[in-house]
Formats: sequence, C-alpha cells, structure tokens
Amino acid sequence: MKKIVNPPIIHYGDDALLVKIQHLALTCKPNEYALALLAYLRASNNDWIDVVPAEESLAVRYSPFRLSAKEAYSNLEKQIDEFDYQPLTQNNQLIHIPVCYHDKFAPDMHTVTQQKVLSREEVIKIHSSITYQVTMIGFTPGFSYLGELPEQLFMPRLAVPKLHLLPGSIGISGYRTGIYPLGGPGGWQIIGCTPMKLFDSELNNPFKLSTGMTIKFSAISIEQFQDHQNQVTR
Amino acid sequence: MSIEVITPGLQTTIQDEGRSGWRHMGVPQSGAADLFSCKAANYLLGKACDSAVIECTLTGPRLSFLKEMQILITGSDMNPKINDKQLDMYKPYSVNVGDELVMSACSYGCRSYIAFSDDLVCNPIMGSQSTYLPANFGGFNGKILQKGDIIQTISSPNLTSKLQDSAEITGQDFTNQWCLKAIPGPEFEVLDQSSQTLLFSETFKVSNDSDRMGSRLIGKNLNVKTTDHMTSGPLFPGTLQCPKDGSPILLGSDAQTLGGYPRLIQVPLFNQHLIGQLRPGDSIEFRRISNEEAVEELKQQALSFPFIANI
Repeated sequence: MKKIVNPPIIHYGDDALLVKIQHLALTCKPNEYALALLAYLRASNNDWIDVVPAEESLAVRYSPFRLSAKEAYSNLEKQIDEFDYQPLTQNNQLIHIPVCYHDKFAPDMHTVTQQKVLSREEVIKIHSSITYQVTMIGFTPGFSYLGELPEQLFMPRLAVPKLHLLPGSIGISGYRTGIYPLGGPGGWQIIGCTPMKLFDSELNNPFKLSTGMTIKFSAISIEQFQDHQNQVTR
Repeated sequence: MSIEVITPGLQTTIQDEGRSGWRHMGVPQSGAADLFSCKAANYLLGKACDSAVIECTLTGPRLSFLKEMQILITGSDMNPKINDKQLDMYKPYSVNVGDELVMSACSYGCRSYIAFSDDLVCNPIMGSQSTYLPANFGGFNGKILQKGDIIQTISSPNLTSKLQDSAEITGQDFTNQWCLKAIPGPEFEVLDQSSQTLLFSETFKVSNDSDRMGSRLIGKNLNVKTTDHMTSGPLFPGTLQCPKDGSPILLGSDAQTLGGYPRLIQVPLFNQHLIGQLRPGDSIEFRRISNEEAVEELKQQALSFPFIANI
C-alpha cells in the first residue's frame, strides 16, 4: 500500500470534514478504502459523532464545542496517516432478490429503452443476469448501492428527482444500481420494484443487506409480486 | 397517566434531539426540525436535554390532559390556550386533569415545541425517540399523531428547574423573510461566477415541496456545471444541494445521508435551526460567512443559551 501524503481533507460546514478518497494515491477501489476507514475510525476514536462513507469520499461530523476546526482537521489527518489499509473480509453470502419490471413499477423503463436503444426484455436480461456487490449503504435507512452495472445501462440521474417512490423501487444511475427499501424521494431512473422487505425497524438488526454481500436479481411477474406481498402481510 | 389527542393538527410528531452514529447505515438525524426551540423547551422546564417533545407544524393540536403536569411551549407562536386562557410562549404552566391545550395556526415560523414535566413513553429506536416518517419508526408508532391517540407519560425522575432563567429566553424574531448565513460547500465551485454571486444575492421563495427532509427553493436558476455521473457523497442537515434543473434544495433534520447533487453551501449550526421554521411562501436569502466566523457566532450563541452546547 502506498503511503498517503497530504490527505486531501476539506472542511464541510462548521462541524464536518470531507476526505476526498479519489484524490488519494491508492491502489484499491475508493469505496473499499472508505469502508475500511469507516471501520477504523469508528473503532478507534471518540471525536466523531458520525462517520459517513461514500463511493469516493468519507465525511466525519464533530462537535465544534469539543474540537476546533484546526484540531478536528489535524486529528483526522493523523488518523488517516496512521491507518494501514487492509481489505475487509468479504461477506460472500448470496442474496436472491425478486424484482418485478412491469410498467406499473418501472416509470423510467421507457426512457431507458429509448436512450439505450434496447428492448425491455434486453434491459431486464442485462440487469438480472449478473451478480452485484453491495458497495455502500446510505441515502435513507438501508438504501443499497450495488455495482457494477454493465455499461450498456449507464444512465444519468434524473434532472428533477421524483418525490414519491414505491418502497422496494430499483433504480439505476451511472455504474450503480440501487434499492430504495422505503418510499419517498429519489433521483435515479426506476426500472423495477422488489416486494422483499429490506429494512425493518422492529428487528434487532433492521438492515437485511450489508456491504460486501453478493446480490442477484430475478425477474418476477406482477402476480408473483402480489403473491410475495400477501405472504409477507399474512 | 397520559395525554389524549383530541385533534392532531397538520403534522404533529414526537421528536427529540435526534439520532447520531447511524448515518453510515443511511439513518438520518431526525429529531426536532428546530433544535434550538426543542432544547430551549426542555431546558426551561428543567428536563434532561434528550427528553422527547411534541413538534407541531403550521397548525397545532388539541390535547387533553389525563394527568396533572407542567408544560412549556417554544418556537412558532400557534396561539396556545388552556381552557380558553391565553398562554405565553416560553413560560411554564401547570395543567390539571381534564384541562385542554388548544393550539391554532401560526403566521410566522412553522413549528412549535411542547415540553412536558412528565416523560413521554415511547420506545427508542437506534438511540432516539424521534419520529422518522419516511420509514415509520420512532415516536408514536412511527406516525404523525392521530385523533384519539393516547400518549402514555411517566413522572420524570430528574427534573431540575431552570425556570428562573425563563425571563431571559423569549420568542425569537420569526419572520416571513429570512436571511441565513452560509459557508461555501464542497462543490461551490461548480457554479460559474455569476451564479455564485446570484446565490448570495437572490431572494428565493420556499416552495410547497417542503418537509422535514428539505425545502425546495424557487428563484432564478443557478447554472450548475456538473457531470451526469457525479458519485454520491455525504450530506448533512443544513446543506443546500442543487440538481441539474438549477432549483436548489435546503436540507433539514431528516436529510438523506448521501446524495449525488452538488453541495453548494452549508448553513452553519448557529443558524441551522431556523431551517425548521421556514414555511411555504416565505422568502429566503443567503449571506456568505467564513467557517471561523460561524464558529465564533456559535460560541457567542452558547454564552447566552448554554443549552445548545451539549453536542
């Protein structure tokens, strides 16, 4: 592992710092570094109220009543300097997630087929034929970023985010596909929906998915979707 | 031993100081949208700072007390009355069994906070009693309060009255024309020069697409030069993010933890609570401030209001 010189840390408001991992001289994937650094910072330090990993960056939040901006900066800089990156042990559990790609659940399927000059069947085949890794959890409770999506399906974010998505909606954006376990707003192009409950606050561990897991989607019909939902509520 | 909801108001929820330590799993802070008013309410009543309060939005509830206790109301003035007797904000009142607290609509600000000398009984989820509506957890079964709901209460073991200070904390100057300070954010430079100037001079309007997650602002469109594939990065309450359409979104206490739109500016802690008081139709301007000035302002604020410093 190459030693990191001058970690590119910037201030983010008056109570947070942002590490731009993509600017570090790394030989590993930025998101894998972010997850390993998350584990390290959470285990080793009380300065940080929250540590938030992302695909190419990581933020920490601190109390400006306990640390000055300078102290926070130099503490984080020192920790990153001391941090010896080791890949986290992969969780190789394979999770099958049923997805209904019916128009009712896929408001952006038409845009995707038009822009990519693919048929619906081709989009479904590409999306459900490969396995993905959970590369990140975030956005809303349990939202899972999965990678990597085949390049044939790369789509931009929506220019105007949607306000109300169905729980379980499956979106695509750039080289990621993702699952919205809750309803609510979202800016990705939605091409399907899973009836599987991936977040349950009643459980001791509310999160069904965690980083490192392997995911495979399987296409189901609208009838199968409803059957699955009925089974869950019964 | 409880409080009954006679009419619920527009969006009344149980909140506290919010959740921390779960953002890496996508769990937002939640808690009071106006943390200052929430903390002031608990402080003045001598409650522990993490006590649950009731947050009222635009139009408050009508509550019937099935047990005697003390209450205190802060934030936006919803013209509270007990049995037709007008109440002052930021002042404690004793209520008796059968008394009714009636709140109506506010004209300035958006949210009121009711603190109770008793503790509200609700299960903490991930370390907080605050309601997170998008996932329906926390607070009262994860939901906004409904007519007929009965909130159980128990006597609070550690009441340390700060009532002597109440004269010093009165209502803040709420308005329909806000001016918030802001620090340039991580992607401020994606704005061209004229949009940078515009952001700190334009008067934006708070749109109807506003909730505890964020407020969409309407104004002259900002010119965001950005790639379509910017990867998602961390977000916090107080961030103004801007999608490609140029209409910015000012994030509140339920802000998502990650997002892919440029983070243009950050409203610092000493002003952040005011985001919870923005109401649809209000106007809002941003004035540039440095990180150092913002921390200095925060420390000044904590000299007058020590209860904000428990973070």
